[in-house]
Amino acid sequence: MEPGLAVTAYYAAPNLLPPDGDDRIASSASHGFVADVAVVEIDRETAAVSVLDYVTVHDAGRLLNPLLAEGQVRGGLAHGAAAALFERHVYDEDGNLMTGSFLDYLVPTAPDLPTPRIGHRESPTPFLPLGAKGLGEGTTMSVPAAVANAVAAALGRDDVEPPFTPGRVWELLQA
Amino acid sequence: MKPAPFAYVRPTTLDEALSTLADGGDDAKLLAGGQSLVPALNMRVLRPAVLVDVNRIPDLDHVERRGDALVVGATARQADPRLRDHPILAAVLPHVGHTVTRNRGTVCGSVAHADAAAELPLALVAARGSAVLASVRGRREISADELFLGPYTTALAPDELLVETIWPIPAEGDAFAFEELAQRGGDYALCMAAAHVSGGELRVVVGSVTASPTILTVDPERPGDSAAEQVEPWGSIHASPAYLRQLVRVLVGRAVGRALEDAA
Repeated sequence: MEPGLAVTAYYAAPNLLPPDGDDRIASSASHGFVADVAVVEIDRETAAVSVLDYVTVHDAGRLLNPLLAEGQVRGGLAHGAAAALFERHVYDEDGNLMTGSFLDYLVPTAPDLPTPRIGHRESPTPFLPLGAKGLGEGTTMSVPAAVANAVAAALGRDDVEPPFTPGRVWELLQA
Repeated sequence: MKPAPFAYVRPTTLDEALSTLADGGDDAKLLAGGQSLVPALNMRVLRPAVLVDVNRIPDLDHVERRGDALVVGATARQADPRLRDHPILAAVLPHVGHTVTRNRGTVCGSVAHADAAAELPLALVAARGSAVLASVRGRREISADELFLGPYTTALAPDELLVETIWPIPAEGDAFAFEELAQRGGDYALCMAAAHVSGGELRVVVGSVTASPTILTVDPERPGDSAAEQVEPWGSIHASPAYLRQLVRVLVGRAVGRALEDAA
């Protein structure tokens, strides 16, 4: 059988260059941006932390599929909120893992998570043909920082470290 | 995560269940909702030789008014809507696990399991309730105050089946308040407190921070502080003893405040 029509094409982003003389490299052709605001309330008696409001705005360039983009934001937020408020590994003095079951390693469920208000601002990147910058799991990075900043503001101190479980926040309130 | 091998028996009458239990003794374990037992089997914390499944015994899932009490049968699920007629159960059940576990888990099973951090044993003590225990030797009723002996430890003999819990229905002018702090919705509480004003008399019960639901006599002028002075929490990776004592102070204070306010 004769072969059909075949085309082979190559594309290289113009700003993705090989490592320079000092072995430095910019490995992303474009960067998405994310800005978050967390509103947090701390019960000073029980040290319980509640996220009252959460706003996250993304500039992912041109959104190719808004539904999937929102899914990434919500999924990333779940991981970020877990790191900010629940999950940590604890070892005892002898190196035994103390959080080896889901009874002690606190994975949040849906009702434990803040409900985000999500916004998008589309400024297409000039460096790529589609104008898309990407936003995968951006909120995984931003939520711990935003929540930690809110907790720091509420407590009036900046040496705070997530996760902000009530037991840990109570220790902060005593110091 | 698989259980160690066990024999499985599924009786269809209460008498058959009781005789199987009597034969099995310490090596037999009852299965109702399985929401605590099955994870314990899977983690091999428990290795019973015989599992006696009581789910197919008819007429064991009753929830009915008997005199001034609501009587809850052994296989009545925590999600049973008839339980909401009782104000104490209605207040506490939303904190018991999740919708999915409440669909399967039973009220009596949770009481018999006697987890120190479970809400239903505490609620039964707060309600001044009792339990009916059956065995081949007969039946006896035991007050909730005498039922819970320690973590996972009750006054049930190895051959006894907890067939009913009895929940006295609060009278006009009575009031009940429940407070707990859990790290996640539906989680075991770090600390919980109930205040029940019944016939003008205040009963305060705390749990999670004690080996079993514990009745405290509090000073009504300073309920939180006087409660905190009476407990010695042991602490965990999640909460220091000092923090747990603080939770007793706050939660008892809030529960008593609400109950006294609501009581006529």
